[in-house]
Amino acid sequence: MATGRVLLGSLLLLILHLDLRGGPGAWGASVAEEELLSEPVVDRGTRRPQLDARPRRALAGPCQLWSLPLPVAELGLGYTSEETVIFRYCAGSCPRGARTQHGLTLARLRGQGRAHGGPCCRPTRYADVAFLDDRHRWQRLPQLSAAACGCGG
Amino acid sequence: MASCLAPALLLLLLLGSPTNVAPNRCVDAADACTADARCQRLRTAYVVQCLGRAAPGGCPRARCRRALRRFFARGPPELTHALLFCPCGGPACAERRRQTFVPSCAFSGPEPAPPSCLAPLDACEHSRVCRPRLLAFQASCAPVPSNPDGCLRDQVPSCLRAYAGLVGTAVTPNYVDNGSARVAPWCDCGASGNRREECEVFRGLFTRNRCLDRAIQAFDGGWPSVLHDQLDPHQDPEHSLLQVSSADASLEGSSMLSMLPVLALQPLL
Repeated sequence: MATGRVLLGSLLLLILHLDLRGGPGAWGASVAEEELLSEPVVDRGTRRPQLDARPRRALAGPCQLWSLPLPVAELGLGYTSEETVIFRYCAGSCPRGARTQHGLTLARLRGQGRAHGGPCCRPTRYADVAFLDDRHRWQRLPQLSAAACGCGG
Repeated sequence: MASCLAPALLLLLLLGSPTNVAPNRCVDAADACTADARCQRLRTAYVVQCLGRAAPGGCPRARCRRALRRFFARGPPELTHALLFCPCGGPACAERRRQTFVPSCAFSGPEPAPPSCLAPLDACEHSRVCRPRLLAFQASCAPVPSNPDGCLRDQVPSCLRAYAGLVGTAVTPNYVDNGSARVAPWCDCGASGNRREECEVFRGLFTRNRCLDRAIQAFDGGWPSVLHDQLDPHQDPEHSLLQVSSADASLEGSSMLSMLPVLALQPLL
C-alpha cells in the first residue's frame, strides 16, 4: 500500500513538473501553497466555491474575499479540535480607494506625491466561528473570519 | 489536463501527512456542515445563542432552543441530519454526537435532577410549536404491531425528520450516554403519582421504541455520498487512495468538477 502511494505520488509530481515547464499560465499562478488551497468566494450563495475557480495571484486580482479551510490547530490560537473551519480573509489590489471624501482627497495627495501608501484591501465585516474542541466543549471565536471586503484608505 | 490533475494532486499532498485516526463520522458531518454556507451560518448561530449567559446565571434556553429549531428547519436536511444521527463506533465520536446541539443549555434543565416527564409533556401539549411536532413524531415513529416487522414501511426518513423536529422543543430528546445510540428526553417517571403509566408510555416513545432505534441505526446505510465528496481531505488515507486510484483512470475524460453537480442533485434523505 505504501509503495503504491509513493509511486502514484511520484507519477503525479512528474506530470506536474512537466506541465509546469510547458505551460506558463495555468499552473504558474498557483505555485504558492496558499493559493493552491485557497479559493475565492465567487458568489454570495450557499454553494461551496467550485473547484475549478483557478485562483490567480492574490494581488493581481481585485480586492475580494478568499476562503481557506483550516484545521482548528492551524489557526494558531491554541485550540485543539478535529474539526475544520473555513477561514475567510481579504486580499487583492485596490486600484481606487474608498469613495469617501477622505479617500478622494487622499488619492489626490498621493497622486501629487505628498502622501504615502495606497488603499488596501481589508474586511468590512466579520463573522463568528464555533467548533467542538477535543474535550467536547464548545468554543466560540467571535469575529474570527472576514465576511465582506472593501478597499479602505 | 493540468486542471484535471489538480484535485488528485491535492489529495496526494494531503495523503503525505497520514494521521492514523479512525474515521469519526460526526467530525465528518461537522466539516460537511462547515463547508456549506447556510448550514455553517445556522450552526454557528445556535452555538452562539446556546453559549450565551442569561440573567440568573444560566443560559438563554428559549433563544437557544429557537435557534436550534431554525437550524433543523432551514438547514439542508442531509447535513443537519448527518450531524444529529452520525453513526459512531467509539466513545469519542458518541460524545461529540451527544454534545452536538449544546445539550447543557438546550437539553438539561437548570436543576441538576431531571423533572418528571409529565412536566415537559404537559408543556408540549400546550405549546403551539411543540404539540404538532410531538404528534408527528408519534405518528411517524410509533410501532405498528400489525405490520410484519412491527414498524411502518419506509418509515426511516419520516421518523428521523420527526425526531429532528423535536430538538429545540419542550420535549427535546438526546443521546443518553456516549456508549450507545439510546435516546431519551430530559425527564424521568419517578415522581409521577397516579399518572405514572401515562408518564411511562410517553418516555417509552423514546426509550422502548424499536422502530425509532431502527431508524437511527438505519441512518448509517443512508450516509449521503454527497458528504464523501465534500470531505476529501478528511477521509482516512486508505479511503483517499482508493478514490485516487479509481479516479485517475477516468481523469483524462472527466474532471472531479463535473461530478459535483451530479452529486449535489442526490435525492435528499
